[in-house]
Amino acid sequence: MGELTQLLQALRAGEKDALGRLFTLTYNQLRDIAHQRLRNSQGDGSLNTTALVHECYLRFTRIGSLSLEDRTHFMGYAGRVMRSVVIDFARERLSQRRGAGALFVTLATDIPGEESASAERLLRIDSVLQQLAESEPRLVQVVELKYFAGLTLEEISQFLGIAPRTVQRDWDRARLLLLAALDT
Amino acid sequence: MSLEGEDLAALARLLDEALDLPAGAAREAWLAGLSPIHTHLRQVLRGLLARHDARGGDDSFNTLPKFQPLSAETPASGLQPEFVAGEVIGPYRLIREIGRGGMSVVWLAMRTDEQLKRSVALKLPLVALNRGRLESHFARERDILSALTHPQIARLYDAGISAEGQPYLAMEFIEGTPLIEHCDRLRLDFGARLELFEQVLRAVQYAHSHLVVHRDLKPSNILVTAQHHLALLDFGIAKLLSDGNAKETALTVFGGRALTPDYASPEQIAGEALGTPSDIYSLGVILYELVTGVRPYRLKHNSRGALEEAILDVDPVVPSRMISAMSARLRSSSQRQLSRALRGDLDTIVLKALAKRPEDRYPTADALLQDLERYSRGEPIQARSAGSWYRARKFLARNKLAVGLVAALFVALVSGAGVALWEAHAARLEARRAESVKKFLVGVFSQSDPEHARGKNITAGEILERGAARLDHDLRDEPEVLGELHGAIADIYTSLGSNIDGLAHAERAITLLEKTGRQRSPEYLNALWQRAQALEEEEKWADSAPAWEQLRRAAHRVAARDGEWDAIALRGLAWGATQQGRLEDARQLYGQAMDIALRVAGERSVLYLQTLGSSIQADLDLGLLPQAEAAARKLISMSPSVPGYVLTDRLVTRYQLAVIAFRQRKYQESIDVLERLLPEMDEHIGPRHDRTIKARGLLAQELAEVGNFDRALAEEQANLESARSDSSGDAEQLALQELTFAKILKGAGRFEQGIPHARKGVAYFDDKYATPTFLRERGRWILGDLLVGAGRVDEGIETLERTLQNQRALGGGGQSAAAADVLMSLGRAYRIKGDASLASRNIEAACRMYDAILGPGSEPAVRCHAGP
Repeated sequence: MGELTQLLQALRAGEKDALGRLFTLTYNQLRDIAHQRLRNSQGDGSLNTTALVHECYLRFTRIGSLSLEDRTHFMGYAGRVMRSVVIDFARERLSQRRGAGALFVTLATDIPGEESASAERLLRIDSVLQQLAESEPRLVQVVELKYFAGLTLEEISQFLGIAPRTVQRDWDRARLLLLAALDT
Repeated sequence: MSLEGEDLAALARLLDEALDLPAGAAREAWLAGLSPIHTHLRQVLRGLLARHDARGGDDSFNTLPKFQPLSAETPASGLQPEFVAGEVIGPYRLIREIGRGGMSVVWLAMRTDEQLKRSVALKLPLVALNRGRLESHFARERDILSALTHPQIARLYDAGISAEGQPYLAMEFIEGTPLIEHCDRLRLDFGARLELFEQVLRAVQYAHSHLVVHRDLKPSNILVTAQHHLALLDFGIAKLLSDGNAKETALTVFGGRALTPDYASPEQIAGEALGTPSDIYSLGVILYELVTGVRPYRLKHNSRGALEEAILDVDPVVPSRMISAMSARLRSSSQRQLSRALRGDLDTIVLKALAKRPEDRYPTADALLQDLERYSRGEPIQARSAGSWYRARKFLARNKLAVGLVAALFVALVSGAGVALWEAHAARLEARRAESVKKFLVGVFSQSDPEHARGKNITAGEILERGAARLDHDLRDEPEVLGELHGAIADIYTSLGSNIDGLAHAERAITLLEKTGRQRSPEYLNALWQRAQALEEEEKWADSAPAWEQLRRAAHRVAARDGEWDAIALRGLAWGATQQGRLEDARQLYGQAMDIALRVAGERSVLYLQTLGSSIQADLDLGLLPQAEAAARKLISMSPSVPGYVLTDRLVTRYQLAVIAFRQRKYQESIDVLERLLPEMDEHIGPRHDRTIKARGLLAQELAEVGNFDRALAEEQANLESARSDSSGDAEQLALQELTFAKILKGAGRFEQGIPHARKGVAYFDDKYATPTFLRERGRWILGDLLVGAGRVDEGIETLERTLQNQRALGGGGQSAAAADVLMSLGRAYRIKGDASLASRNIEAACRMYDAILGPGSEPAVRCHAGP
């Protein structure tokens, strides 16, 4: 309730991203599916986000008439959702370790070191994307779709209606930026 | 260095320039010429460009990292004592590790020194950590567990400390799947889940009665074996209640931290004294997850802190609101069906188990069990005491607002206009348009400020209403967007069951979308569908037919989905025809719809099966019993292999089979079908469901028909109570059941008792239908018969004469089997009164009518000629 109230206030104040944040309220469902998937992945451990994008797509078309004809919009949204799902997942992993109580941090860390490194890396990537959101929205979207949603550059080019060359260029830049930002 | 904010943005821009430059002199020159504010990025840029040149094998960001599944508590660091296969601990040889928790490791092990080679689950507490504490903990666990012997609780065989000082507990080895995983894997439906949960409750009740509190109940501690045997594991931190000390020892505080907080009770989080209510709470969380697939709290951040805060302070979301399509599917149900089953009593039960204050929860596992059993039997539950009911309603109202609000906004946003609004920069719609929608939404929601509604909840419906009222004014310059939003709002209204409002908005949407040339858009087709659907729901057959026709025409213009829409529209037309009594038309239309459904979706499709299913009703009404039966049997054999074909529909088809047998007067066969069907209906859709009530009513009638009045009355009595207790239920259904009950009472000779029931039914139908209808007059006939039977002969004759008059206004000019029944009753009544001539005149008329309508050989005709 608190969150919603805040959002309503933000909307009233004309805050730009309030509507976007409202979307996050709908992420829960998808997050649940992602977790369920992972639990059923029989130890493979891969978050198959590409399959999730499809599931998500089906969900929307199943709402009935509200089928999102416009693939551009849908894919933009799906990329955002997948990023959120993955990042929340990473966050959850880390909080599991941190939250387990001081006694156990040193002893029974519930997650192996390698995983927490991956999780931290993901959070760092997310932070870089956040900082680029305003100046490079398209680049951020390409990363969401390529890295988080697992689409190919060709698919991204089609879905977003951007020339393949531009998508490739954005991806190159994004990769270099992330390398630079993570190389600390 | 750590790159942040402006540097990142600058770097992104600079890379855009630099990537075009070939490596070498040109690039170096460019680097040298960097503006002074960027010189500190020169080194970074040089390095990155070099990496870019060599990027051949660079796949740094191609795939996401992998994670181990969360539920399997993952192996931890090397700090814990490691055991290896073959190692001997006490009298046991380790075979393989089978589990690991915060405080212990569990191995499958075999006794080495015995003839009997029994494999056990050997629990090895991790002594590396504070040996003294763990040893006392261990000793306690041993004492408690050895006292518990219950088929659903894993046995403790043996306990000791090895020569090396390693304590061990040898327990019954249960090879099974954690409760929830088991249920999901088998797609167990709601009823089967409740049954398993009831087993858990019995085991917990047993432990509680032995003064043992589990304290760490969670799905992973409840295993189900391949033989469907359920067992509770790990009374690891249980504590004997018998010491009666409210004070917690250091041990339990320590133990508290080792818990998974997901299932921990508020008092556990707060470190307070724990009793049986703490287990009840954990059971509540498990029940919640079992039925909804999610846990009770939606967290802002997935951290332990946020969860603990929620457990202490946040009211759980009402379970029936948490059903997703996915979780419904895992329960072999549909979203709507499942949340309907949960709504009300089950919500209340779960919320009572999850009450924050221990004294507000069920006092024992048994009390919870009893309420669940009451719920399954459709009886009123105990949780509905004034206090808890008030709280439950409060939860509902509060969450309805939140959930409804988001649903409303979501629908608006997901429709084209909304997404464009959300990502205005990418939208092809001009900013002006996005801006106007946004202003509108902001306006609507500023009215729903909770501050303005202090002390009373605004429902989502009210918000919707206000929003809808402002739409036309606020968006008058944007007819296209306006049309889409009206369509979205129509969707919400119809899904809330407000057909009239849905209809109004669908019509607005249609007009506006036509005006803006959007006749080929999915929004337009949807609005047409909404309109036809709403008209149909409102039983406005004269209007729904042209609406379906219009949908068909519009769909034909859009190539992609025309087949599907066509089948749906034809089905709608057919249904309307059935309802108007144009049965031949209906049959033809169903035939067309099925042909199209076969062509576009195939035999194994929901579209085809649903069409086939609705056609059965037309066959039934036409008296084409063999056709109806063939279709019903086909449907029943095919539907299990078609995912998405809902269970309710299948149950209905089986009910129709019972009706077919009933019509053929094969009462015993029909009773057999119903006796098998009704328990399933009770379980899956509940005894109060409209369909269940109908089916039980039929069973009662047939039992009466075969002379079993006692059971007939018992079934119908229960049925009537179900129909009455469903406050949102169908009033017509209730009236029908009153009449059914009255008719059975009449058959049983309990006339006086039947009269008030018949009166209720008749009053309803008189009120509903201004002119005579079959049902209205059938009710009056039953009432007349009852009055005569009760000795109120004059009143009875008056009632029967009146219905005879009314029968003439029905089809066939008063020539029908029903009218003959009335004549027959009149004949009997006059004879009781002593008027022989009127008696024989009526009976003769009745016989003639039976002969003409049913044939001289028919049972009623024969009986009539034999004399009353």
